[in-house]
Amino acid sequence: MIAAVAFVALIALGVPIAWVLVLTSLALIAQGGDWILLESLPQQLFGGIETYALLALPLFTLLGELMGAGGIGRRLLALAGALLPPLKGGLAYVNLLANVLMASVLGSTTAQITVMSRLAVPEMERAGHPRELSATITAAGGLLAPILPPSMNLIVFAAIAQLPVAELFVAGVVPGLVMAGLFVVVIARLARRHDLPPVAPAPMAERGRVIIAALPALCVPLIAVGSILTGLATPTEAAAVSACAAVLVGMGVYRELRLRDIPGALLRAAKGAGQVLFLVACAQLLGWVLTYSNLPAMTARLLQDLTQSPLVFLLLLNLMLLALGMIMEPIPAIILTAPVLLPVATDVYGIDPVAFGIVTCVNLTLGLLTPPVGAGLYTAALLTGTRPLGLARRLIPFFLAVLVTLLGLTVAAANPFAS
Amino acid sequence: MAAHSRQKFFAFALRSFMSPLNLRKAARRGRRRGKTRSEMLEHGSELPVLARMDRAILRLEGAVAALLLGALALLMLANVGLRAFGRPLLWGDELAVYLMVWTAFLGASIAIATRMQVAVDLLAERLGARGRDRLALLVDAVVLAALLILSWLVWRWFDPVGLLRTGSGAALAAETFNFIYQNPTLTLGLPKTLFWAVLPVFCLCAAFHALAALCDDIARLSAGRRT
Amino acid sequence: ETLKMGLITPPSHQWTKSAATLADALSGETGGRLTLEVFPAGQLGNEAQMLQQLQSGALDLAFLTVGELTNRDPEFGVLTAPYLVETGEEAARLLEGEVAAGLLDRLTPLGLHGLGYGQAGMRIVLLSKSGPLEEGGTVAGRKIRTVPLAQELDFWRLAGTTPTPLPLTELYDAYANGQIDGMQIDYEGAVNMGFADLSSAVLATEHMIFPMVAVASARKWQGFSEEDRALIERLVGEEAARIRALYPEIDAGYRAQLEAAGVPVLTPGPEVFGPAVEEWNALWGQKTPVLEQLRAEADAL
Ligand code: NA
Ligand code: NA
Repeated sequence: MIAAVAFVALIALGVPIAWVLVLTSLALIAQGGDWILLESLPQQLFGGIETYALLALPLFTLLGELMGAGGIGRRLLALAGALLPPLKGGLAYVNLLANVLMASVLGSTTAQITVMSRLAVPEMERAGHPRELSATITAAGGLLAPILPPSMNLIVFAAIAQLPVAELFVAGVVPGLVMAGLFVVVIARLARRHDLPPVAPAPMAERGRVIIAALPALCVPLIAVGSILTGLATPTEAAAVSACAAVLVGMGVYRELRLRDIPGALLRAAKGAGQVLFLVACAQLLGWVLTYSNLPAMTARLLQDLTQSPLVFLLLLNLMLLALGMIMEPIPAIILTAPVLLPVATDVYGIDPVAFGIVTCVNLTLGLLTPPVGAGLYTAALLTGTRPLGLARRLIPFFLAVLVTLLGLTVAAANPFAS
Repeated sequence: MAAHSRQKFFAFALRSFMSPLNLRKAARRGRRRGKTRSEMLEHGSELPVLARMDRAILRLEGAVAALLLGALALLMLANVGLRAFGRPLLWGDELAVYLMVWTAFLGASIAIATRMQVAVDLLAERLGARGRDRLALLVDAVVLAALLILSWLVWRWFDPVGLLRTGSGAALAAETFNFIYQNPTLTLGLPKTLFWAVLPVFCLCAAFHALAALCDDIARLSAGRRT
Repeated sequence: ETLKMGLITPPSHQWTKSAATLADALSGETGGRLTLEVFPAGQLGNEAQMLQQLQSGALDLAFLTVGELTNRDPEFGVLTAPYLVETGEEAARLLEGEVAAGLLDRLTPLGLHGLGYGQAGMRIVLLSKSGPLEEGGTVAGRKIRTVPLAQELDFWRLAGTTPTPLPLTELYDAYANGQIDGMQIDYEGAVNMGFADLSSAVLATEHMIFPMVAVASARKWQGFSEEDRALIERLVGEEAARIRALYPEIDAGYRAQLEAAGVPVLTPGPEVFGPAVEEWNALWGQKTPVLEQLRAEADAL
């Protein structure tokens, strides 16, 4: 109770979120009297980000910086503009489409947001879209990454549930596409309300020139995809491979990137990624302290006592996971909750484990964009120079689209005939 | 350096370092000329020693963080290439993760120094200029307090005094159940302490930044009171 | 008093089930004076992190794989020597033997108190669809995913393969995309994670046992009364024995599932690893004399 009050009060005062999480962890330890945890606290803070899965964050941030500095992003967006009918808010749809394509290769929301924030947002702004709105669409598009296969979140869930990864991947396709479809609806409404500019129709010759100029730029994403599909690189390593390609194209072909620009790009990426990673470390620390107080298991027992209906159980579960997602990253939150909640879901309520996994992953993914702790939200804000809370407010229609998807999934999961 | 001038130098350094007065003066000077702190940071000559050191640390951190991230990208690239030729770096992934953790802690310290930390600023928005300065002081004090607690925990964990007394990591572990110097890495063949060392580095640098920010807040508040 | 126990295995795994049984038995026999909270699936961190928490006394008990221990004391590597035993039943008896019991004493300098051994499934090999095994061929020339532990890296290197460590989160995509063309795993993992579906063949080599070590925090152990120590020793010992006894059955069940699913299950001899078995024994025999004693004990089974 003391810890919860401290948490809310410190956030309201405007204490940096990372330190709110550290102080709340300390308060929880004091409250439980588990002083022995203090001895492990520094190494848990370090260990919270000591995972391979997070490497995507700094590497894709760097890739985004280099693609921006080398003029690659600008040409890719121009290419999309040249190929597109003059639709209102055309670049917003390009952004979403690019996110769908990236989501089918990558499995990490923050990886996508970091690249797209540097690539798409400046171009959209140049084309007359408000910056905050552009950043919002970019951040929302990132939500597709862990739902459309492949997905790190689903792989982690598969390991806990002992399910074939392929089954979970297949189950992610429909919800992912439904979400993308609902995002199209949201963007269409935003385009009308904000009177977003269409892509200006250009003469044929001009279009041809743009397309040819973009061909070297196109190599960069193609090299990333190619290196993954040929088994040359993991999706994480693909970021490093295509960053190398971006340097070569930016320096050798377009001559917009100079050797002396690279330290600056490295520094900006290190600052942005470093800060978000530290936030993740602090959130992980809090998760560890909460686990020690056996909160996940107690929650599982509480849910079980409250209801006998699978639907009510899943609805309550959704509420709980949404709350958890507010302060935790998806992968640690899955590790925290799935081991205790999955057996209850399958054994007590007869819920299909695959359906349970998809509901859990969609739900917790949303947390990446919800304040007060959302790595995706802060990455988008930091890289586009917008305010996190402003972004979060503008994201509400997209959140509603995800909640509609989630509700559909929940009803389907609770109904044995549907799965 | 002659003894006399050395003495004078130390006295000056001590004065400038210890007393927030100089900082206040600098802030007033800056404010009179309509400068913000970050603008003042660009014209270092006007700044007292504390702020100048703060800025030097910041620059060093930035350089190291950029270098580490560059090394991380090159390492991943090298691993892809070497694996294609059937000689993967067995320690590549582990080192990459440690490079990332170092970058993260340096980035966090830089964020404190540049006042770029992520926070919910709804309350500050509702306050006037003076209230905002007071709130900034309170928030920076909380951050410094949290950092001091963390520093204390890191100090206890590294237990340099205990290590000196017992003479070795193994002896320290046997006597106090503190195994910090006994933990290996998985593939690098190096003691884990080498990488954990980022924690004391972070605590030192970040606490320094937090202290400088706090002095800056005090200077701004008192400069505001005089005018 | 509430004790805490950590494991990396998922909820449905036998180790986790045994931990739950242990928790019931402990509170039952003490009338609720001692209770046990079980944290499965790495909720409290990976094995290195759990080991640090055992050292500090934040965690009381754990079922650890032999991997993390080998990283700290190579002697534990002898337990995963290739072709030590022929069956899971023999593996269980070997883990009850003198050499294994002697190794438990080596846990003290690591801040642990050993309580006994369990096991998981015997190790087998999966080969990807990119390159099926030729008649009489060896695994040489392939990229095999393995954990980055000295004894396993040595083995796969000596077998002429490229041992390729990959994080678990990257393993599925890497196997599907052909970044690796084989992996060392057990029947259980091959079935549950769906790796068998991506494979051209299952090599049922059963070449290595996979011991589990039940440990207590030495720091916490100091504080327990004589009776509590005896009680914990007995109850953990019972569960460890149950795990040892169950695994041959569990392995057989998963193997039958693989065969029923239509994946070719081949049973090549040690020659599929080329000269690796002999050369590994020579190499590790030099590193530690315990290997010879353990092998003598195994041969006498
Ligand atoms: Na994806
Ligand atoms: Na969140």
